[in-house]
Amino acid sequence: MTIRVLIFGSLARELSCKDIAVDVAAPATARDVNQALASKHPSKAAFFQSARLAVNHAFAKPDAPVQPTDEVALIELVGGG
Amino acid sequence: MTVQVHMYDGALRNAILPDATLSVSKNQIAINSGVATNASAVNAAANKSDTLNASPTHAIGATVVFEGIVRTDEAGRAIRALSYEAYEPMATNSLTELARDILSKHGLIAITVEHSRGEVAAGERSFRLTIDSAHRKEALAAMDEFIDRMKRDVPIWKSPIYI
Repeated sequence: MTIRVLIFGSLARELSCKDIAVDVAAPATARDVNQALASKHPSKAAFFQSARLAVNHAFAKPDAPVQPTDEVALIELVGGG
Repeated sequence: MTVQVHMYDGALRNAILPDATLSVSKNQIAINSGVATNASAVNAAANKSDTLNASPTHAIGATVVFEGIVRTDEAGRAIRALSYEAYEPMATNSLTELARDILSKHGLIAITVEHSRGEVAAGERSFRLTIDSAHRKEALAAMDEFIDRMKRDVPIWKSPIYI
């Protein structure tokens, strides 16, 4: 199944996109999504493997389930204030 | 105890006027109602207010205000503005949860958070945190902790717009 991960800020500028679509096997967890992101962008593998994900607007633990209908966002490199 | 979180489009207006704060206190209205002086921003705001309990203002012995101002350079390169991107509703919810936690942890009376989204020109205010407490020490400690945690956990990003 395909999970679309929203990205923001400097990462979105660097990759010139607002989201990254990754394929994971069902049933999937946030950890699987992290791993798929790392595989898709090997030059940033370490970053994507440990990047925090939000599922439906709340931070997700690594073992949290992820469905294709969920809104998934990568919450890193934030800089409010 | 009061928590208020406001997200505004563009720069924040001037800080709360001391006499506005005084009049609020005299009328025993929940503290920080003075943010309504930011009238021009209110119409564009997705604004969330969470009043836990109205507090008697005579309990307030310290009000600490921090304002974040956009610098004229970013890493040594001149900028015209910063563009703030907030992932909503998570950004507002995160700020509210953070304010509630800080309020409880430090035994504060009120916290008001104001944050810009969109473009804020160099020299203008993009963030204001107002903390009311009985004493100075808890307000200062809370201020530092709030800002550190906001910069770590709240989904708001800023991008420089170079000259």
